[in-house]
Amino acid sequence: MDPVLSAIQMVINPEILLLLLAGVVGGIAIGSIPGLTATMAVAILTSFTFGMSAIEAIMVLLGIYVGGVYGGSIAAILLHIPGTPSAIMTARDGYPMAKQGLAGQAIGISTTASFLGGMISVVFLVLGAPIISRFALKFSAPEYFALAIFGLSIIANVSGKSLLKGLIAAALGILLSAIGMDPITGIQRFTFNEMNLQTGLNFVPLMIGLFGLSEILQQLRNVENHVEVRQEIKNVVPSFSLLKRLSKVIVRSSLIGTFIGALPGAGGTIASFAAYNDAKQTSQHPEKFGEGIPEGVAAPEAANNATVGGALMPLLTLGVPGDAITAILIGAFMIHSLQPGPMLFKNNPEIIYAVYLGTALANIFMLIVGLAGARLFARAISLPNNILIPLILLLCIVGSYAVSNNYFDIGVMILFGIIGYSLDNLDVPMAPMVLGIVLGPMAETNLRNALIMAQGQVSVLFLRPIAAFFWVITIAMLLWPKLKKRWQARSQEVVTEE
Amino acid sequence: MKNMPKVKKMWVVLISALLMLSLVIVGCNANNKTEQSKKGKYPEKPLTMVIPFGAGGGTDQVARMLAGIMEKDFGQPIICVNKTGGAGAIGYTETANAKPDGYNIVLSTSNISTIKATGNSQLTYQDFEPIIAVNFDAPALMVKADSPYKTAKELLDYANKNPKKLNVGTGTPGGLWHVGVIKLEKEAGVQFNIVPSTTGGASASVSLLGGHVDAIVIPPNEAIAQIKSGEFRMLGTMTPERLKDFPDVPTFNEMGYNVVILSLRGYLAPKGTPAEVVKVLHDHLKKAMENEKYINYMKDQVSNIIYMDSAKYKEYLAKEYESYTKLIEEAGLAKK
Repeated sequence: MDPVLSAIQMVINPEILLLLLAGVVGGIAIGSIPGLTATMAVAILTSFTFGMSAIEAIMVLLGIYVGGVYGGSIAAILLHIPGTPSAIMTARDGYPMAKQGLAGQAIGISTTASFLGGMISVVFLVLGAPIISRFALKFSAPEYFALAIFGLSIIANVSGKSLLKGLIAAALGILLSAIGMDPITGIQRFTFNEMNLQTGLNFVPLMIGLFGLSEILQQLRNVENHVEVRQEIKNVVPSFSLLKRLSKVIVRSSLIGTFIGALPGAGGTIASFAAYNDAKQTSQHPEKFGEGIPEGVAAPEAANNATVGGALMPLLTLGVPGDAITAILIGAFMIHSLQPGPMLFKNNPEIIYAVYLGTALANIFMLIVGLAGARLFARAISLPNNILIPLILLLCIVGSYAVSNNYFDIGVMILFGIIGYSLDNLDVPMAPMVLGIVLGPMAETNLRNALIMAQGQVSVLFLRPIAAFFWVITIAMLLWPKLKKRWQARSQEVVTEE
Repeated sequence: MKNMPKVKKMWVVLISALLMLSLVIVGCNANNKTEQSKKGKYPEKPLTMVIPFGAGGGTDQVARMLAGIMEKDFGQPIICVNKTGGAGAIGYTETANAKPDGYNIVLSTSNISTIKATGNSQLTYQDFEPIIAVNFDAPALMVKADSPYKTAKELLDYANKNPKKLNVGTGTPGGLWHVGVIKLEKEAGVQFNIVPSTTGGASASVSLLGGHVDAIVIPPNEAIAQIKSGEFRMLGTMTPERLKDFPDVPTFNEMGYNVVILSLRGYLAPKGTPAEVVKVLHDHLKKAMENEKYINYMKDQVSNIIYMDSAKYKEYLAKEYESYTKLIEEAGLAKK
């Protein structure tokens, strides 16, 4: 039978659809709880799928994957706690929107953007997976290093008022990321013989502290004169005119997300940073980013959900993972005697089409569940502060602990909550710090690996075409604001002369 | 909460429910630091299975496979946790420091016999109670199908004439595959430019696929998609005998190079775990190993099943520790 038809037959079946839906709902719930990430959910649930048939297992896991990546945005918007690392940028504009009483709308935008991002990446997955994943293979250490440096240049764009303070924050982030074992030699750095520091600081509790706890501390200070925000719960579904306005940002972000997702060495967090940066750079009102602009929510959400389709490309076509979740999915495929990679196209093409179809359907389910839930979610934060704040605090503590079941991480969360609060009051932006923490290790490992591969020749970092491309856009991006100013000044001069 | 509207009350309930859900999920993850009641029958709470390497890699897959099968009879959930870094040292440390109550085990590789010599950790097999050995893998030298080297000899001849010209990718620095490459260099009297990869063998195969290195030394199961599709060619294995799945691929041993590297996987519990608990774990794991699923999986994976009971495994580890320490010293990877 035609593999497409048999895939449709396999997937369009009440039982399978229900499993997929359950996966999506479960994924959203887990993703929305800070500390529980989609990666954990997929890893833990893989063992529960042993008793299922291959198709059932794959559908549940795909549902969790898609739902989990999206779910991170909910806590980011409502509570300023990114549920998953890739939702950090969503908090930047989503939370201000919620504070203005637009939580429902922000979730609506995030849901719609996630859906569109997911769907666009599925289109690319179906049409271009072999070509894109072959291209992604051209990325090696020098390219990843250049990409990491490009990522770090985003600091300039998320630093707010003072670039200097942004750089300080980023340097602090990179320093923090150096804690733990040296990636090339295994020597311990900055661990002061503390067992818990051997693997470095756990990223999730750090993030919950920096964003979540610091926000609670901030609110406690104003608790007396706090005016309860009335949530405007109408118009959760974005209007057509808003969608039209956002369409360009969503498409660009989806492309960025799809491609970064397809790279075996980069994932959703970097994709959402890059997309946010791109949206801000191309916007006519870059100054409104960070104050609650819909574009600031749509860009990172479209990008991080687009990484799903991207990450599935190398998995299906080459049998190599595109990110941490697809690495676990490979194991899940294997358990059911399916070998992802070129042989899967030959031996079980129907499974490939089933994955395409399943991912698309999971995105549709996510859209329905997300929009239906947006009103409910938005109501949750109209609770009085004396009830809401303790609940959030509890969520911060449980979430930090959940990451690796270690009390040490709760301490990390509290410490970084205080650091975050202090930085906030000193007007030091936190986004660059997170960039430093995420990109520091990527830059370091790849720089050193590139130099090993090239036997110490520094030129390898700049002369390979893709690496060179990233260096050029990095420099262009850093110079752009100055050039823009100069051109504007010049054109004004011309006008006055006339 | 008396004067609160109904809707809001509902919300308090809902959020509390969500919190409870998250607490339940947390509870599902075994936790090695909470006190447990001393009485009662083992097992009475979830078992934590530490995987000292990344998700999706060979060790990870074996652990999750066995955990999945074993869980059905074990009566308690089994939680697989990836604790990566330091050629496995982090995962070992985690387990060695855990309470020896039978609720913490680690799926060990032969890295347990190398991490002390390489300076990654002070731990050896003596810090653990061996439970059972479950499988082994051995590295092989592979090139891309379009590579000019058809045999290991051709590649080594080229390397002989062009020292440090061939980029040879391998797994984690200081890990066993890395040791294998160095041993091959010594035995064949050649020099490669060795490119270790921090994230393990699977990344090395991505590098070879992308043409960023000339050859790789990793076990076949970490590049199985490419071997089966014919994109990679195996030139030689570092096993004592030819692998069942690849009867045409010669061993380096038969080519006249004394390079035998095996990574044996098995389970270890923290030192001091009671013998009767080790026995229970051994029996459950042995049963899981005999499951058809595990056998088929190993076959699909071109990996190899091997069984050793606790005593035999301990004996093997003692010998392995001695020989690998020597190997690492020879390879120049030892840290003083």
